Amino acid sequence: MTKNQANPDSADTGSRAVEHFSYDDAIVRKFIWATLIWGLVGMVVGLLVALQLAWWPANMETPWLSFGRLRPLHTNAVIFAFAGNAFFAGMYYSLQRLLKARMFSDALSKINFWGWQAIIVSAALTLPLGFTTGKEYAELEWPIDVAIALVWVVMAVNVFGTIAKRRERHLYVAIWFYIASIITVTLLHVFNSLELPVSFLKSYSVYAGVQDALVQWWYGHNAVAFFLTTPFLGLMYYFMPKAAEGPIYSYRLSIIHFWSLVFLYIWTGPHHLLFSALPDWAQTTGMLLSVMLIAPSWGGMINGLLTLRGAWHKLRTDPVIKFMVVAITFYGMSTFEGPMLSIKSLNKLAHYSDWIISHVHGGALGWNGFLAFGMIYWLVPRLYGVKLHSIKMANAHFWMGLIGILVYMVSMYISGLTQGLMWLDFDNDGYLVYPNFIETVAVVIPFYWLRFLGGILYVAGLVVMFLNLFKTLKGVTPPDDTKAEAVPYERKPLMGKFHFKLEAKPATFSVLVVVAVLVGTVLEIVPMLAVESNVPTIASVKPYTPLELTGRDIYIREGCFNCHSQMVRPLRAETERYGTYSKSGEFVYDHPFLWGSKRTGPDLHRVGGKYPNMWHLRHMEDPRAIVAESIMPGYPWMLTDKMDLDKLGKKIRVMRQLGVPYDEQTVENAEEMAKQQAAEIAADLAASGVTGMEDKEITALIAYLQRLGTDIKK
Amino acid sequence: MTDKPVEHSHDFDGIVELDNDLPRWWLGIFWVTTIVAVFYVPYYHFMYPEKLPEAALLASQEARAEELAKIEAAKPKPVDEEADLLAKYNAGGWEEAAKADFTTFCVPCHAPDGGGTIGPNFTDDYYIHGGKLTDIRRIIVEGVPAKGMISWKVSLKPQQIENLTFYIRSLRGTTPATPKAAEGKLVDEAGNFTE
Repeated sequence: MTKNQANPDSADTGSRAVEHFSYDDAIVRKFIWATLIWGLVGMVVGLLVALQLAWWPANMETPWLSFGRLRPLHTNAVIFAFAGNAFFAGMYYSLQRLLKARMFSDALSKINFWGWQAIIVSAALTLPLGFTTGKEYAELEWPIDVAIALVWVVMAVNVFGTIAKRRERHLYVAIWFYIASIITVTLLHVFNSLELPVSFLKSYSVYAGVQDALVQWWYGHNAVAFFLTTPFLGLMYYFMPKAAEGPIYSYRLSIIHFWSLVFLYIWTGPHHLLFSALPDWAQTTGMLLSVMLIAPSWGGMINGLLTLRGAWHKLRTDPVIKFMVVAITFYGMSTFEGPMLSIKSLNKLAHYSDWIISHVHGGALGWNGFLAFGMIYWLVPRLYGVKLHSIKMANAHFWMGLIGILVYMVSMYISGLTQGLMWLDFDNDGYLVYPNFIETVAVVIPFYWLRFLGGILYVAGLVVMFLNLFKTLKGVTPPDDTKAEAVPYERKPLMGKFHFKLEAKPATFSVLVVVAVLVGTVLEIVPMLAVESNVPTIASVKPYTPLELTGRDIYIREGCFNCHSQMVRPLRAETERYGTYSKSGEFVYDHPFLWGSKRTGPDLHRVGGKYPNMWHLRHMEDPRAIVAESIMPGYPWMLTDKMDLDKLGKKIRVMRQLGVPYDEQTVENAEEMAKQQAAEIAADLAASGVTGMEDKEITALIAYLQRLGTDIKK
Repeated sequence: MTDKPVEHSHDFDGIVELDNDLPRWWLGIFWVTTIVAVFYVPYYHFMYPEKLPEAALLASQEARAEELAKIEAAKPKPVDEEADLLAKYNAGGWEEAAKADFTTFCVPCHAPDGGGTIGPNFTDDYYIHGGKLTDIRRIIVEGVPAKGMISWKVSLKPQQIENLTFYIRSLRGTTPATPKAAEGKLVDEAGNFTE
């Protein structure tokens, strides 16, 4: 089916001479190895955190190995290191060939590569050490955020520079997706990461509470969209037809689904905040635009799968096709499940539960993982000029991976449904059937083990891939860069339909992409930031005391928000279990917001004043001393480590700059005030028999926990 | 079905594009979801504002309060509640259920043998809020928020609370492994403060 069609632009070459050049293949090889190595690292950390949920001693009572710190490492590694490098690998390969031009600058390519790897290493060092902003998938602290922005811009310059010196006038659909990804990720990253530094590795988000939540999930959901979906759709549009040697089903479908996807996706962030304190209009917007996304998402699936029409037999023989077809199928499933989960009635049941974990792993392991593996199996023989060592091993990898995903997802479906149903369950007398949260934890432990096994299978498949590639490349020296020749396109007036002409105007195209993503962004976020009625003020809500703020920073450092939400939804099952539902006015001083997205443990927004100080001390020291079946890691070091009050004045000052109404006295005497409050709590603890806590971290954390959600009771 | 080719052609590294019509079922999904979205807004936000989360919660809470009030009104009101409870306590039959609930809900703060850890000791003759059965029940129902004793009336049913009252009363006079120091004031056999 594939043939080189005549290029009308080059039919008459006239005075334009054929130019000889080469493609930078070395950079693609580099990115491929980075993809595989970081993929393995990120997934092994995933196995560890999965084990920690099934068997708490795996937290090893070590700060930097505890779940709250490693979970962000796992998510960041698989998203930005594994999927990120896979995107770069595939884009650097395909972009050059689609534009008939070598990358704009080899130096920028190298900066992109080494800069990105340096960022990953810095993430791998800082996250376990507890340096985190507390915003999901944006946990990295501000110097790393700056580095990400710089490297991303270097990559953008390199890509647009290559587009500028292209020899093929029109941009193929894959490049549309690359452009949309590059532009939108820049926008998302910069605006969500706006933070005011306190020190070299500590900062506070400039947004607070419900506004921070909206910006964060505008970012968070569109990290899924523009880092894990559109870049990979771009890759699919190149590698699927190349591997299947079949035609893309419909050019016009690609136009419609591209623009509708880019326009609609940006709106959907609020579906992560359904039944939260976010205003209803924003929740409805998020839900409806998510449902409207089904068709635009599926457009990509249709164009990908139908490439195989008339060649389905390749599915039996070619592991590359197997990986890609299953990847596209998982994409289709995830993009149907996502909108369904965005419908409020279902979201009520699934939110905070393991169902969401199942959903994201269908996307990450199925769509991103399998597409990357398929692409790498296709690329490696071409980039090294060899045949793959073993098709059998590739097939084994495929089956191990596929069964691994299914075991993972099914176990998390069962677990998530169990949790959701138990949390909401009332008996005939109108009482909660499971008022004790731990019952809903203990019952899903077998499924955590099953998930761990699914994960092992998936990772084992990746190990088989490594072995296969090592065998393939044993004694092989990478060949020189691929030689190519092409005639520069002639700058004659563009003819044809609007979009066809647009495809030859990258600048106009990019501006339209910016407009498309800005519409939803502006219409959703600006009213939230500007219209006061969206966050009704509550007079009794006051800023945290210096000691409470210190405790809050410990809460952030330990990643408590990874397992505990601070958002009681307006549902009777929740108000009975936790207390009054959370209101947006309660969070106006929360830089950053800490609503969380998962309830591995119970919600904490109304925990303030619920238990005695001593309860918290014993519970943090050894959770099982209080709740026998608890799976929470212990934090005994908080009873011996001294709290850090050095930067407290600076912290209060930064908070004041962000609009938190601290008076001058608090700024000046922050440390003294903290010590005084700590002494009061320590005295209470001493009365219960534990002395010497006045300068320990636990006291600050207790102060914070006891304050949580109590202001509206005043 | 014959495939439609693209009208224009260019060389995208050998990749061929067709220009088939958008599948009808795909267009159908697009239109249906869009139309549903358009109608959903007036339906949810204007026609039935009582469906909005806060309004719905309020309605369900009111319904629940009415239900509880009815149950409360239908309950027999003994003249002497203490005597009534004491009779039930002496009659027994509550032990097994009470022990299970005590283990789940009370042990974290009062120890398995009632000797007290974070919360007070149940085994001695000293009580902070009184040692009558009605006192014990009142504290379980209402809690002591200032001291971190939870109000259990939402999570536990009246029968469960009664059982726990009896169980806690039965611990008085037992010998725990590590008793917490006495808190409160001395009470007599009936649970009345002696001073």
